[in-house]
Amino acid sequence: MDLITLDMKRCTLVRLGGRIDGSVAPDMGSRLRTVTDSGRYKIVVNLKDVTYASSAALRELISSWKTCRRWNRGDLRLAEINPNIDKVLDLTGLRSQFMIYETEAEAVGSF
Amino acid sequence: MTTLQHELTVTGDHTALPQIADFVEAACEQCCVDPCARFDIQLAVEEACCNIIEHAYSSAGGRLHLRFEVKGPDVEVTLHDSGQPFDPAAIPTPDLERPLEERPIGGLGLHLMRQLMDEVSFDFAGDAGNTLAMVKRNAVRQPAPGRPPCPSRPAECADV
Repeated sequence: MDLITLDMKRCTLVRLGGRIDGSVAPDMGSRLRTVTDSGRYKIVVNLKDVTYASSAALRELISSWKTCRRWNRGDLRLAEINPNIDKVLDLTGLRSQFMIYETEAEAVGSF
Repeated sequence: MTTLQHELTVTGDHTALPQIADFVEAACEQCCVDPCARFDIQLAVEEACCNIIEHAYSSAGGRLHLRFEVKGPDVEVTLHDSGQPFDPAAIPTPDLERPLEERPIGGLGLHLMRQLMDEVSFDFAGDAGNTLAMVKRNAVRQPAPGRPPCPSRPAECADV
């Protein structure tokens, strides 16, 4: 799993890549918590380079999403999802729950 | 009917997941499994393994055996463990229409397995352990006529 965090003017951009299975998803969750623990609750997660994500990865995204949305203080939005990830989001009913943008620029600009 | 079989035994903990993924990928490659079906099988197997690791073995580890079989056009993956049995019927189907704020975090693994595979069946046999069998129908591409048996060169497989 690759994870890069960039603090932008109005949000934090997290670029994820590689395979996110149950062995690395907790690490991803921990690094997302580092962002929210620092008081940044507006997050864009770019999934363009994610080749595989299991429900363990979704759990972490949902957990961070809930943290961000608490008290209307922010949101976690997704960008550039590939067909495999889109399929998993669809099967789990999450596609309609997350705000999803075709491009990273659109997602960042939405905040 | 062509039957090919691959087997792997690991200690069931999260660190084994990459090894299991490599095993499934290699078996799919050798058996000429359709690329779309590969993703489904990979994900279903990981979800099943995570359930065994986290629930059957309560993250304490234990023997986990996988068998990958091609039976004609179908792929069957069988997982066997000696952990705590459970009642699949007691696992509630996640309410996907419910707002995410109200949904519990987790509980998607079994749902995904059932969505991704054509058959999912459990057998809990006491001291003999627990067996989970999952079947993906029509997952294997047939070798193109006149070509050698596909496995190492899936690009030469004819479309199903």
